[in-house]
Amino acid sequence: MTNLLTMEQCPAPMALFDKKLCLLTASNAWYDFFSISKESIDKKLFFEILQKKSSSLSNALLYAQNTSEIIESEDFFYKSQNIAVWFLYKIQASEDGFLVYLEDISAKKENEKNKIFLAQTSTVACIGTWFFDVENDILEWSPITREIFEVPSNFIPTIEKTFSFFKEGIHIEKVINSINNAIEKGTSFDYEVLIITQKENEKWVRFRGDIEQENGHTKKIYGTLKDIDHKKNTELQLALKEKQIKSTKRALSENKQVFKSIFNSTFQFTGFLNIKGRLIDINEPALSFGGLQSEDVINKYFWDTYWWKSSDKEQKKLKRNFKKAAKGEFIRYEAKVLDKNKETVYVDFSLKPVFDEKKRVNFLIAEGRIIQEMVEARKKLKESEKLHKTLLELSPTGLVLNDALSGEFLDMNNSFKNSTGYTTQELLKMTHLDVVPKDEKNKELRALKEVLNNGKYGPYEGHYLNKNNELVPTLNTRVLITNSSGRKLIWSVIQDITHIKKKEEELLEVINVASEQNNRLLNFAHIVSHNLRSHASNFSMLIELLGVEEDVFKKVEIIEMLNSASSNMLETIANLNEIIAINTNLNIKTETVNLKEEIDEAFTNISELIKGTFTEVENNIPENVNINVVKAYLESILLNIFTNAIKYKAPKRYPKITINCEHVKGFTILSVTDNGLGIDLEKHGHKLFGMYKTFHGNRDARGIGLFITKNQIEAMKGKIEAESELDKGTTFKIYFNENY
Amino acid sequence: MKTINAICLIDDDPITIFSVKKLIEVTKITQQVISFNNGIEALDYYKNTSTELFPTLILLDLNMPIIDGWEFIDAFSKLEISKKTFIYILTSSINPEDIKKVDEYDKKHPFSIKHLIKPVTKEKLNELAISICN
Repeated sequence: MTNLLTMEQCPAPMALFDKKLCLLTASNAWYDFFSISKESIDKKLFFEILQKKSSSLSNALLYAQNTSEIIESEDFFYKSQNIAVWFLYKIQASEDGFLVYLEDISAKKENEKNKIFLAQTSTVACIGTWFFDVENDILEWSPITREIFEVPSNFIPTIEKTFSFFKEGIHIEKVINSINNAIEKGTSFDYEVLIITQKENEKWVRFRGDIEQENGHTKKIYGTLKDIDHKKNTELQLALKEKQIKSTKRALSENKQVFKSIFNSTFQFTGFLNIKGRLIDINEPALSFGGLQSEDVINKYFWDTYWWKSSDKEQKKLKRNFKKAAKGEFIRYEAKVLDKNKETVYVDFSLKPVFDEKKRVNFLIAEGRIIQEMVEARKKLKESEKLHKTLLELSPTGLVLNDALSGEFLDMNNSFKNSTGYTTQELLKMTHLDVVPKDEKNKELRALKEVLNNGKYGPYEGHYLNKNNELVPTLNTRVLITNSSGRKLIWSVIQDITHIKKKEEELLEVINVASEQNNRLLNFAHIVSHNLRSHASNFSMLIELLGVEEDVFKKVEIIEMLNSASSNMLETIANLNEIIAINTNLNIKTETVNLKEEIDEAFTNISELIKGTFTEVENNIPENVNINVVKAYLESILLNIFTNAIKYKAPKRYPKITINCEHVKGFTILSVTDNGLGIDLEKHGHKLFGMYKTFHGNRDARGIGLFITKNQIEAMKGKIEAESELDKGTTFKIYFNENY
Repeated sequence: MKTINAICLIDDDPITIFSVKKLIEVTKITQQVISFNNGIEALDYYKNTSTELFPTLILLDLNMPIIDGWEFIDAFSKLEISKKTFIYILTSSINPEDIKKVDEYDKKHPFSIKHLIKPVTKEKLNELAISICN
């Protein structure tokens, strides 16, 4: 009995039946398992309850009456609606009856079931069921239905909640309508509709409902729900794909046309190369450029085609670059190709690799664009730029750029810098007016105004102030330009004419000298002709007289005359010789002498004459005046001038000679002033220094002294001038050239 | 043959004066020759002499001191008697400029001015006398 009591307290469900299947005793857990109250049931009748609940176990018990084996199996019963309780049972026969053990395996079973369902849903079409009790408003969902709606197992469905799972719009409307119609009109329904599950997945379902009527009223609706999302989507996708394929096909054919026309009508050369470098396709312009047919080049190595035969170098270059491009590099360079006339033409050439999905080079696009003009223009531009720069820099003429309004220096060439003596840095900080001499500022402002009004001014002569503040004579031309940003600038062409001015002066000097020499020469020719002729004619006349004269004494007289004429002629010839010697610079030897000493010496030589005539001499020459002269000439000049001053003294005055000197523009000027007779220079000035010109009727005047003096002075690059007033005196100014 | 009333010879060269005087004597174109060494002396003579004695012919040298031949002519032209006078410029110059200047002076003055190129010969003097007397 103790055994029986112990059994009652066992935590596992177990029971003891006698041979007649009457329950002898059971554990409390046994009663709990079957949800039966221990007190309320008749133990003898328990088997009948069991038979209702679990056919397998009850059958097993009946079977156990006739065997002593231990029976083990599984069974289930519905604990309540929808909830099945699975259990494992073990029946062991004993002397008195059967011992039955139970083990709840519901949880285990559920897992197994779920596994199966999961497997089924992936392979088999999942059909969930549902049931709606219209009268009692009870909605029941099968587990598969729950799965389809993706709700947990404890979800309690209602009709309102169900509606909310259908997608808004036509889907939910359709469902509400069909449910209403089913209730009110008793119509069944079956259609495909979109739902949105609790996990917010959108899927297609086949929704179907059948009705059960009682007295013409719909009592219940039995429905199924099938997940057709995969199918539906496949369908839709198929339709879509078909549509896409069609449009793609259409687009492709359109594209192909467009491509073909672009390919062949562009000016650009385009071709396709395979990764080996063979030409797959080439457009029409490229072919006609080379005068080629497509069969000439297709499937040939690109570098072996006609275009590239301008040089080996060009072919190698292409081959080299193709290798790089075939490895995925984009290549672009200026290539030289042959046109149909075998002329080399520059093209902007590129090789562009085209990749497949795996980033491997699939093929290459070769493109070329003629840039002959560009290259030539660029070359020309470069050349002309260089030329201009060189011209600017090497130009012997100064070129300067100034701002038109501020006058700032902006650019200048070497020539300008050289003539002004400023550096670029210095000039860039200066303005135009800084290098204009003060007294030319107004003139420059006028010139500037002209430039601004007329765009150009000049050439005109002006001056620049150089760095040493010296005037640089220039010939200027100014041109107004406006640069790209609208700034007004003036380009000036500044020709340094210092040397031209100097040359001009020199030339003028040379012309003066030349014309003077010419005059002298002409004069000399006349002198020679005149003087020699007059001697000759004297001879001629005397000889004629000698022929007609019979008187011996008179003949002697004529012969004396002939003698006299002869010596006159010799003297004349001697004078002419002297003049020639002076003018041809014969025996010339220059030396530096002290002027004062020379004058003193000259007076010493004529001291007798000075004493005899009571001549007063005032020598104001400083001690330190030295001049370069031919000493003999100087002596002759001084002697001639001094003796003239005494020879032509005024009858009522003692002679006075005043000697001064000054320096003017490269000359030492010696002035000798007397107080003698003077001479009317208006009348005689032109022949004062002429040969054989005498003015005062003195017996010893030969008309040669001043002529020789003048020639000697001029031979030393000097000059002589006279100032005189009758009966007052004469001043001779002798210019000694300091550079002689 | 007509003769010239008198000939005035102005020259600063004594040899010329001697020779020309002698040649005039030989050709006998005049009875009277007066000579001067320069223009001033000649002008003084003209200023202080009565009109009848004025020589019809003046033989004048150009290159002389004090006043030259040209200056003499300018001064001589201011004397009232000058119109009947023939002046022959005695020169050895064959410079065309000088000949041109003679023509200019001829036009400038109311009396005849011509040139006589040295050397003076008998023939030249005879031709001269014929052209003056006719």
